[in-house]
Amino acid sequence: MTTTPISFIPIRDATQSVWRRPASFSFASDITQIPLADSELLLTSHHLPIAIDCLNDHPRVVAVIDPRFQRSPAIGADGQWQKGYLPLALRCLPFRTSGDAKNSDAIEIAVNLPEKDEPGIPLFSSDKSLSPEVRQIAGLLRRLEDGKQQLQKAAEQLLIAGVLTPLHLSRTPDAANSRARSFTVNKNEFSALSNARIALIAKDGFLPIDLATACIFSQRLMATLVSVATGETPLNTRIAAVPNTMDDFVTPLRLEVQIDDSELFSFEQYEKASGTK
Amino acid sequence: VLYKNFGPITSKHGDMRIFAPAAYPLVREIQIVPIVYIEALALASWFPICWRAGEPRPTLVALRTLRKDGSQQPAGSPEAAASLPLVLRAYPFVTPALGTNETQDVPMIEDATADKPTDIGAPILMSNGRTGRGTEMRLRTVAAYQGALPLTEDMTNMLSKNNLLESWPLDFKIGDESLAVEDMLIVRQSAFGTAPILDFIKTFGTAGANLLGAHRLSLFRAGSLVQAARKSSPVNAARDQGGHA
Repeated sequence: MTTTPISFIPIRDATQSVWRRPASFSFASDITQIPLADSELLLTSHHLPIAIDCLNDHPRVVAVIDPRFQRSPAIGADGQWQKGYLPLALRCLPFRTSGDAKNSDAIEIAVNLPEKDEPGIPLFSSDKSLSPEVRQIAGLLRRLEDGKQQLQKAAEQLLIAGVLTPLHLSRTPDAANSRARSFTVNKNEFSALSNARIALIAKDGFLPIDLATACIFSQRLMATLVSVATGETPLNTRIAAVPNTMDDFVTPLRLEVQIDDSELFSFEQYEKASGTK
Repeated sequence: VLYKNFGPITSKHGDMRIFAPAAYPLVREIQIVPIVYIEALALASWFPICWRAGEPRPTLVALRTLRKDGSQQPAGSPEAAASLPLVLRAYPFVTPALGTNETQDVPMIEDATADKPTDIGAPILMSNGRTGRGTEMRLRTVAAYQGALPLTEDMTNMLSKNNLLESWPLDFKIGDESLAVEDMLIVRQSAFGTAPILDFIKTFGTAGANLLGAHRLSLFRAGSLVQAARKSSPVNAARDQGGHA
C-alpha cells in the first residue's frame, strides 16, 4: 500500500494553534527505516533489526521497520505500533527538525498526519515562544540529532575496520545486481579483528563496540527474511575448537545476510522529498 | 548448587534414558545459572547477563527470574531450547567445573528424575554399546562449557581486580511482596570508555568486547523479569481473577 507522503512545514508557519499526536502509524508503512540516537541503540536492538545505511558515503545507524525484514511487522494492520520500543524519531511526531535542532526555527510540524481524537496542545505560549510541551519535544529532537551524530562516528569506525557486510533481499530477480546501501556487521570478520585493532576501534569510546554488538545481536530478528550462507565449518569441528559464541555452537548463525535493499529509502530523505521547505 | 548426587557413567547406566532438559526439575527451577562467555550474546535476548559475587572470584551468570523458586521466567523459558544456558542443555550430564574439582576422565551424570517428560527419552548407550546422539550432544555441550571456562574466568578476574564490577541492586516491591536478588554485580557503567576497559579489550580482543557488549545489552532484560514477577504477584493474580488485593 502506498500512503500519502508526510508534509512538514516550519512550526512558525503553522496555521493551527494546537497540535495532537498521530492517531496511528499507518503513514509509516512506506518507511523502511528510522534513524536512531546512541541512547536508544541497545534497547532498540531487542525489538528491531539495526542496520547501517550508507548513502553518499555517510553512514547512518537506523532501525529497520520494513516488514519484509522482520518476523513480525512493526506496525499492525490497524496502524498501531507493535514492538516493545518506539524509536525517538517516531515519538517526537508530528515534529521533526531540519538542520540545527538547537534552533527553534528549525523545528517543523507535519500537516497531514491523522491526529488523535484528543484536546490539542498549544504550539506556542502567550509570549510567542514555544509552549512547554513543544520545548520538551525540541529537547528530545536535539538529543536525537546529537545521538545520530555519535552513532555516525561509531559506524565510520566499523566501516573503516572493514567489518560491514551488505544486506540483500533474497528471492528477488535483481538481488545479485542491486547495489547494497544497508549494511550490518559480519560476525566472522568482526571476531577476526586483532586485539590491537579492536582496541583501536574502542579507543575513543565503547559506542562502536555497542553498535557492532547490536547489529549482530539484532540479526536474529531478520530470521525469516535472510538467506543462510553456506561454507561454515562443520559443527563438530567448531565445537572441538571451542566456538567464539554459543551461536557457533548451537545454531548455524546467519552470516553474510542477504537482503535486497533495492526499494530501501531513508526516512530523512523520504521526509525531505515529501516535506514543504 | 547444581548437582547433588552424581557419579561417573558406568555400565549400570546402559539402560538409563535421558529426556529433554526441561523435563528435569533443576533445569526448570534454578534461578541463577553459571555461564561462559561464548553464550552471553545468545542469552542476552532472554536474561540479564551479570556476575554473582563469590570466592575466589565472581561468577558470570544468567539471572533467569527474580523468584528464588525459579518460577516466572520470561515467556518461552525454560521450554525453548534457545533459552537454556549450556550447563542446563547438558543436564543431567555434569559439568565437572561445577561439580567437582577433581579431574575426571569419565563423563559424569546426575542421578536425576525427569518428573515432566514430554517424550519417551533416549538411552544413554545404544544397544551396540555406543553413546546415543543425545548423549553425544550433551557431552559436547559439557566440553564447550569446560573449554570456554578458563578464558571466562580470566576475563572475570581482570574485571574484578581492576575494580570494574559494582553491585547491582535488585530490590523490587511488587504488590505486597518484596523481591530481592542479592550479590549481583555489573560492570561499572562509568568505566566504559576509560583506560581499564580499553586494557580489558586489548587483553581479550573481540571475545572480551563481545562479552561486554552482550552484558550491556542484556541488562534491559531486567524489565522483563520484573514484568514476569508482577504477573505472578498474588495481588495481581487476584486482580486478574476479579478478586481484591
